[in-house]
Amino acid sequence: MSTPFPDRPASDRLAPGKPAIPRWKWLLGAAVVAVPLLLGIGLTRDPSYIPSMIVGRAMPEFSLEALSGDAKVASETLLGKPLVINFWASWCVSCRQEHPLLVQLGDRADLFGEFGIVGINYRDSRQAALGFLDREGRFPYASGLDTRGRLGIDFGVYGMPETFFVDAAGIVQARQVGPLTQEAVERNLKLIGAGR
Amino acid sequence: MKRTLAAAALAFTVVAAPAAPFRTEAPEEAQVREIGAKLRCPVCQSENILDSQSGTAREMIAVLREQLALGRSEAEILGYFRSRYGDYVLLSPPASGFGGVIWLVPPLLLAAAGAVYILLVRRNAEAARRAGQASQPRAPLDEQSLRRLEL
Repeated sequence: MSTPFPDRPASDRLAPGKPAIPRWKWLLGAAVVAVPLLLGIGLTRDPSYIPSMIVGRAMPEFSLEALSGDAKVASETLLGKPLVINFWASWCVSCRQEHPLLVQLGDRADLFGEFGIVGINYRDSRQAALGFLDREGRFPYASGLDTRGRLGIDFGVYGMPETFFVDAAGIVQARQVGPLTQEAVERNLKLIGAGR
Repeated sequence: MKRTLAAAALAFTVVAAPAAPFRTEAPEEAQVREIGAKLRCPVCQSENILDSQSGTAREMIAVLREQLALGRSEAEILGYFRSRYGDYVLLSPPASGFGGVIWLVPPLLLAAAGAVYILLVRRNAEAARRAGQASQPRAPLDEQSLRRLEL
Protein backbone atom coordinates (compact mmCIF):
# COMPACT_ATOMS: atom_id res chain seq x y z
CA MET A 1 0.00 0.00 0.00
CA SER A 2 1.54 3.24 -1.10
CA THR A 3 -1.12 5.73 0.06
CA PRO A 4 -3.10 5.46 3.27
CA PHE A 5 -6.31 6.85 1.76
CA PRO A 6 -6.42 5.91 -1.89
CA ASP A 7 -10.08 6.92 -2.21
CA ARG A 8 -9.49 10.59 -1.48
CA PRO A 9 -8.59 12.90 -4.34
CA ALA A 10 -5.06 14.21 -4.39
CA SER A 11 -6.20 17.84 -3.87
CA ASP A 12 -7.52 17.04 -0.37
CA ARG A 13 -4.22 15.83 0.86
CA LEU A 14 -2.02 18.31 2.67
CA ALA A 15 -0.04 19.95 -0.07
CA PRO A 16 2.99 22.11 0.70
CA GLY A 17 1.41 25.19 -0.98
CA LYS A 18 -1.80 25.08 1.04
CA PRO A 19 -1.98 27.29 4.18
CA ALA A 20 -2.52 25.49 7.48
CA ILE A 21 -5.48 27.78 8.37
CA PRO A 22 -7.90 28.22 5.46
CA ARG A 23 -8.85 31.73 4.37
CA TRP A 24 -12.48 31.42 5.43
CA LYS A 25 -11.38 30.86 9.00
CA TRP A 26 -9.42 34.09 8.92
CA LEU A 27 -12.47 35.90 7.55
CA LEU A 28 -14.74 34.38 10.19
CA GLY A 29 -12.25 35.34 12.91
CA ALA A 30 -12.08 38.91 11.60
CA ALA A 31 -15.89 39.12 11.60
CA VAL A 32 -16.09 37.73 15.15
CA VAL A 33 -13.75 40.53 16.27
CA ALA A 34 -15.16 43.32 14.08
CA VAL A 35 -18.88 42.95 14.80
CA PRO A 36 -18.68 43.31 18.62
CA LEU A 37 -16.18 46.12 18.12
CA LEU A 38 -18.61 48.06 15.90
CA LEU A 39 -21.48 47.37 18.31
CA GLY A 40 -19.27 48.54 21.17
CA ILE A 41 -18.52 51.80 19.37
CA GLY A 42 -22.25 52.17 18.77
CA LEU A 43 -22.89 51.91 22.51
CA THR A 44 -20.69 54.92 23.22
CA ARG A 45 -22.91 57.13 21.05
CA ASP A 46 -25.99 58.95 22.29
CA PRO A 47 -28.97 57.53 20.37
CA SER A 48 -31.15 60.54 21.16
CA TYR A 49 -28.66 63.01 19.69
CA ILE A 50 -29.99 64.80 16.61
CA PRO A 51 -27.47 66.75 14.53
CA SER A 52 -28.52 70.37 14.18
CA MET A 53 -29.99 71.63 10.94
CA ILE A 54 -30.04 75.24 12.02
CA VAL A 55 -26.32 75.84 12.52
CA GLY A 56 -25.07 77.89 9.58
CA ARG A 57 -28.54 79.17 8.75
CA ALA A 58 -30.45 82.32 9.58
CA MET A 59 -32.15 82.41 12.96
CA PRO A 60 -35.94 81.91 12.73
CA GLU A 61 -37.89 85.11 13.34
CA PHE A 62 -40.13 85.35 16.36
CA SER A 63 -42.29 87.69 18.31
CA LEU A 64 -43.41 86.25 21.63
CA GLU A 65 -45.33 87.51 24.60
CA ALA A 66 -42.86 88.35 27.38
CA LEU A 67 -42.87 86.38 30.61
CA SER A 68 -42.94 89.65 32.54
CA GLY A 69 -46.10 90.57 30.68
CA ASP A 70 -44.99 93.93 29.29
CA ALA A 71 -43.42 94.28 25.87
CA LYS A 72 -43.06 91.58 23.25
CA VAL A 73 -39.84 89.66 22.88
CA ALA A 74 -39.13 90.03 19.17
CA SER A 75 -36.20 88.79 17.11
CA GLU A 76 -35.94 92.00 15.05
CA THR A 77 -35.13 94.11 18.12
CA LEU A 78 -32.36 91.68 19.09
CA LEU A 79 -30.50 91.60 15.78
CA GLY A 80 -27.38 93.56 14.89
CA LYS A 81 -25.35 92.19 17.78
CA PRO A 82 -24.24 88.67 18.71
CA LEU A 83 -27.09 86.94 20.50
CA VAL A 84 -27.45 84.05 22.93
CA ILE A 85 -30.86 82.35 22.91
CA ASN A 86 -31.56 80.01 25.80
CA PHE A 87 -34.55 77.66 25.79
CA TRP A 88 -35.58 76.78 29.32
CA ALA A 89 -38.54 75.46 31.29
CA SER A 90 -39.54 75.16 34.92
CA TRP A 91 -40.07 71.40 34.47
CA CYS A 92 -36.54 70.91 33.21
CA VAL A 93 -34.21 69.57 35.86
CA SER A 94 -30.89 70.34 34.22
CA CYS A 95 -32.04 73.93 33.61
CA ARG A 96 -31.41 74.45 37.31
CA GLN A 97 -27.85 73.30 36.82
CA GLU A 98 -27.05 75.95 34.22
CA HIS A 99 -29.10 78.66 35.89
CA PRO A 100 -26.30 80.46 37.81
CA LEU A 101 -24.19 80.54 34.66
CA LEU A 102 -27.03 82.13 32.70
CA VAL A 103 -27.57 84.78 35.36
CA GLN A 104 -23.85 85.52 35.25
CA LEU A 105 -23.96 85.64 31.45
CA GLY A 106 -26.88 88.07 31.59
CA ASP A 107 -24.97 90.36 33.95
CA ARG A 108 -21.98 90.25 31.62
CA ALA A 109 -24.18 91.17 28.65
CA ASP A 110 -25.60 94.08 30.69
CA LEU A 111 -22.19 95.35 31.77
CA PHE A 112 -20.16 95.01 28.60
CA GLY A 113 -22.77 94.84 25.86
CA GLU A 114 -20.67 92.54 23.67
CA PHE A 115 -23.72 90.38 23.05
CA GLY A 116 -27.42 90.23 23.75
CA ILE A 117 -29.15 87.40 25.58
CA VAL A 118 -32.74 86.27 25.61
CA GLY A 119 -34.61 83.38 27.19
CA ILE A 120 -37.36 81.34 25.60
CA ASN A 121 -39.66 79.73 28.14
CA TYR A 122 -40.54 76.49 26.38
CA ARG A 123 -43.82 74.55 26.85
CA ASP A 124 -44.46 75.96 30.26
CA SER A 125 -47.01 78.06 32.10
CA ARG A 126 -46.30 81.61 33.19
CA GLN A 127 -47.12 80.76 36.78
CA ALA A 128 -44.72 77.80 36.92
CA ALA A 129 -42.01 79.74 35.11
CA LEU A 130 -42.24 82.69 37.52
CA GLY A 131 -42.19 80.27 40.46
CA PHE A 132 -39.01 78.70 39.06
CA LEU A 133 -37.35 82.12 38.77
CA ASP A 134 -38.42 83.01 42.30
CA ARG A 135 -36.67 79.91 43.58
CA GLU A 136 -33.59 79.99 41.36
CA GLY A 137 -33.13 83.72 40.89
CA ARG A 138 -34.38 86.09 38.20
CA PHE A 139 -32.67 86.33 34.85
CA PRO A 140 -31.26 89.83 34.21
CA TYR A 141 -32.84 89.62 30.73
CA ALA A 142 -36.25 89.06 29.19
CA SER A 143 -37.82 85.70 28.39
CA GLY A 144 -40.46 85.11 25.73
CA LEU A 145 -43.24 82.58 26.17
CA ASP A 146 -43.30 79.68 23.72
CA THR A 147 -46.19 77.99 25.47
CA ARG A 148 -47.00 75.52 22.69
CA GLY A 149 -43.42 74.94 21.60
CA ARG A 150 -43.95 76.30 18.09
CA LEU A 151 -40.73 78.31 18.08
CA GLY A 152 -38.98 75.23 19.48
CA ILE A 153 -39.96 73.34 16.32
CA ASP A 154 -38.54 76.17 14.20
CA PHE A 155 -35.24 75.89 16.06
CA GLY A 156 -35.29 72.08 15.93
CA VAL A 157 -35.34 71.85 19.72
CA TYR A 158 -35.76 68.34 21.10
CA GLY A 159 -34.56 68.53 24.67
CA MET A 160 -34.29 71.01 27.46
CA PRO A 161 -32.23 73.07 27.90
CA GLU A 162 -30.86 74.11 24.53
CA THR A 163 -28.86 77.25 23.81
CA PHE A 164 -28.22 78.84 20.43
CA PHE A 165 -25.42 81.25 19.60
CA VAL A 166 -26.27 83.70 16.82
CA ASP A 167 -23.77 86.11 15.24
CA ALA A 168 -24.40 89.78 14.50
CA ALA A 169 -25.59 88.92 10.98
CA GLY A 170 -28.33 86.71 12.42
CA ILE A 171 -26.71 83.40 11.45
CA VAL A 172 -26.84 80.61 14.02
CA GLN A 173 -23.25 79.55 14.65
CA ALA A 174 -23.57 77.00 17.43
CA ARG A 175 -26.03 75.01 19.44
CA GLN A 176 -25.52 73.58 22.92
CA VAL A 177 -27.81 70.70 23.88
CA GLY A 178 -28.03 70.17 27.61
CA PRO A 179 -26.81 72.43 30.39
CA LEU A 180 -24.27 75.12 29.55
CA THR A 181 -20.77 74.96 30.90
CA GLN A 182 -18.25 77.77 31.26
CA GLU A 183 -16.09 76.20 28.52
CA ALA A 184 -19.04 75.83 26.13
CA VAL A 185 -20.00 79.47 26.73
CA GLU A 186 -16.49 80.79 26.01
CA ARG A 187 -15.99 78.56 22.97
CA ASN A 188 -19.34 79.49 21.44
CA LEU A 189 -19.13 83.19 22.26
CA LYS A 190 -15.89 83.27 20.27
CA LEU A 191 -17.75 81.74 17.33
CA ILE A 192 -20.22 84.62 17.29
CA GLY A 193 -17.58 87.31 17.74
CA ALA A 194 -18.28 88.08 21.38
CA GLY A 195 -15.50 86.13 23.05
CA ARG A 196 -12.61 87.44 25.00
CA MET B 1 -101.03 39.77 8.89
CA LYS B 2 -98.42 39.14 11.54
CA ARG B 3 -96.04 38.05 8.86
CA THR B 4 -96.59 41.14 6.83
CA LEU B 5 -96.00 43.30 9.84
CA ALA B 6 -92.80 41.48 10.68
CA ALA B 7 -91.58 41.84 7.11
CA ALA B 8 -92.43 45.52 7.14
CA ALA B 9 -90.61 45.99 10.43
CA LEU B 10 -87.60 44.17 9.06
CA ALA B 11 -87.64 46.23 5.91
CA PHE B 12 -87.88 49.34 8.02
CA THR B 13 -84.74 48.47 10.01
CA VAL B 14 -82.86 47.88 6.78
CA VAL B 15 -83.98 51.21 5.39
CA ALA B 16 -83.51 53.06 8.66
CA ALA B 17 -80.07 51.69 9.56
CA PRO B 18 -77.94 53.79 7.19
CA ALA B 19 -79.76 56.88 8.36
CA ALA B 20 -78.16 56.49 11.80
CA PRO B 21 -75.84 59.46 12.39
CA PHE B 22 -72.28 58.29 11.74
CA ARG B 23 -69.57 60.69 12.69
CA THR B 24 -67.39 61.24 9.68
CA GLU B 25 -63.91 62.65 9.96
CA ALA B 26 -62.72 65.62 8.00
CA PRO B 27 -61.41 64.53 4.59
CA GLU B 28 -57.90 65.84 5.28
CA GLU B 29 -57.55 63.63 8.38
CA ALA B 30 -56.59 60.64 6.21
CA GLN B 31 -53.74 62.74 4.85
CA VAL B 32 -52.78 63.85 8.36
CA ARG B 33 -52.46 60.20 9.34
CA GLU B 34 -50.57 59.28 6.18
CA ILE B 35 -47.97 62.02 6.60
CA GLY B 36 -47.90 61.83 10.39
CA ALA B 37 -46.95 58.15 10.21
CA LYS B 38 -43.83 59.11 8.26
CA LEU B 39 -42.61 61.66 10.80
CA ARG B 40 -40.60 60.61 13.79
CA CYS B 41 -41.21 62.30 17.11
CA PRO B 42 -37.91 64.07 17.88
CA VAL B 43 -38.20 63.76 21.65
CA CYS B 44 -39.03 60.04 21.69
CA GLN B 45 -37.23 56.97 20.41
CA SER B 46 -38.54 55.40 17.21
CA GLU B 47 -42.12 56.56 17.56
CA ASN B 48 -44.09 58.46 14.97
CA ILE B 49 -45.83 61.69 15.88
CA LEU B 50 -49.28 60.05 15.77
CA ASP B 51 -48.40 57.42 18.39
CA SER B 52 -46.42 59.74 20.62
CA GLN B 53 -48.06 61.34 23.63
CA SER B 54 -45.41 64.05 23.88
CA GLY B 55 -46.32 67.70 23.63
CA THR B 56 -43.82 68.27 20.86
CA ALA B 57 -45.39 65.53 18.73
CA ARG B 58 -48.87 66.96 19.31
CA GLU B 59 -47.67 70.39 18.29
CA MET B 60 -46.11 68.86 15.19
CA ILE B 61 -49.48 67.36 14.28
CA ALA B 62 -51.02 70.80 14.79
CA VAL B 63 -48.42 72.24 12.39
CA LEU B 64 -49.14 69.40 9.96
CA ARG B 65 -52.89 70.18 9.98
CA GLU B 66 -52.23 73.89 9.51
CA GLN B 67 -49.95 73.27 6.56
CA LEU B 68 -52.42 70.87 4.93
CA ALA B 69 -55.13 73.51 5.36
CA LEU B 70 -52.83 75.93 3.56
CA GLY B 71 -52.72 73.47 0.67
CA ARG B 72 -49.11 72.42 1.08
CA SER B 73 -48.07 69.14 -0.51
CA GLU B 74 -46.71 66.13 1.37
CA ALA B 75 -43.21 66.76 0.01
CA GLU B 76 -43.35 70.40 1.16
CA ILE B 77 -44.49 69.44 4.66
CA LEU B 78 -41.88 66.70 5.03
CA GLY B 79 -39.32 69.24 3.76
CA TYR B 80 -40.47 71.72 6.38
CA PHE B 81 -39.79 69.29 9.23
CA ARG B 82 -36.63 68.00 7.59
CA SER B 83 -35.20 71.52 7.41
CA ARG B 84 -35.65 71.73 11.18
CA TYR B 85 -34.83 68.26 12.46
CA GLY B 86 -32.90 66.79 9.54
CA ASP B 87 -33.27 63.29 8.11
CA TYR B 88 -33.76 62.09 11.69
CA VAL B 89 -37.37 63.22 11.57
CA LEU B 90 -38.19 60.87 8.67
CA LEU B 91 -38.96 57.33 9.82
CA SER B 92 -37.66 55.88 6.57
CA PRO B 93 -34.37 57.53 5.66
CA PRO B 94 -34.05 59.03 2.17
CA ALA B 95 -32.33 56.80 -0.39
CA SER B 96 -29.70 59.41 -1.20
CA GLY B 97 -26.47 60.41 0.50
CA PHE B 98 -25.68 58.45 3.64
CA GLY B 99 -29.26 57.16 3.69
CA GLY B 100 -28.45 55.31 0.47
CA VAL B 101 -25.92 53.18 2.32
CA ILE B 102 -28.61 52.12 4.78
CA TRP B 103 -30.87 51.01 1.93
CA LEU B 104 -28.04 49.34 0.01
CA VAL B 105 -26.44 47.26 2.77
CA PRO B 106 -29.25 44.71 3.38
CA PRO B 107 -29.61 43.66 -0.31
CA LEU B 108 -25.81 43.47 -0.61
CA LEU B 109 -25.58 41.28 2.49
CA LEU B 110 -28.37 39.08 1.14
CA ALA B 111 -26.56 38.74 -2.19
CA ALA B 112 -23.29 37.88 -0.43
CA ALA B 113 -25.02 35.28 1.73
CA GLY B 114 -26.67 33.81 -1.38
CA ALA B 115 -23.31 33.61 -3.15
CA VAL B 116 -21.72 31.84 -0.19
CA TYR B 117 -24.67 29.44 -0.02
CA ILE B 118 -24.47 28.57 -3.73
CA LEU B 119 -20.71 28.11 -3.41
CA LEU B 120 -21.11 25.72 -0.48
CA VAL B 121 -23.88 23.74 -2.20
CA ARG B 122 -21.70 23.38 -5.33
CA ARG B 123 -18.72 22.30 -3.31
CA ASN B 124 -20.81 19.72 -1.45
CA ALA B 125 -22.27 18.40 -4.69
CA GLU B 126 -18.75 18.12 -6.11
CA ALA B 127 -17.56 16.23 -3.02
CA ALA B 128 -20.56 13.92 -3.18
CA ARG B 129 -19.91 13.25 -6.88
CA ARG B 130 -16.28 12.41 -6.15
CA ALA B 131 -17.27 10.19 -3.23
CA GLY B 132 -19.77 8.44 -5.49
CA GLN B 133 -17.11 7.82 -8.11
CA ALA B 134 -14.71 6.50 -5.52
CA SER B 135 -17.15 4.01 -4.03
CA GLN B 136 -17.97 2.46 -7.40
CA PRO B 137 -16.48 -1.02 -7.76
CA ARG B 138 -13.52 -0.87 -10.03
CA ALA B 139 -13.66 -4.50 -11.10
CA PRO B 140 -15.64 -7.50 -9.97
CA LEU B 141 -13.75 -9.68 -7.55
CA ASP B 142 -12.28 -12.81 -8.98
CA GLU B 143 -12.92 -16.28 -7.63
CA GLN B 144 -9.72 -16.36 -5.62
CA SER B 145 -10.38 -13.15 -3.72
CA LEU B 146 -13.97 -14.11 -3.02
CA ARG B 147 -12.90 -17.35 -1.52
CA ARG B 148 -10.29 -15.58 0.59
CA LEU B 149 -12.83 -13.15 1.95
CA GLU B 150 -15.41 -15.79 2.81
CA LEU B 151 -12.79 -18.07 4.40
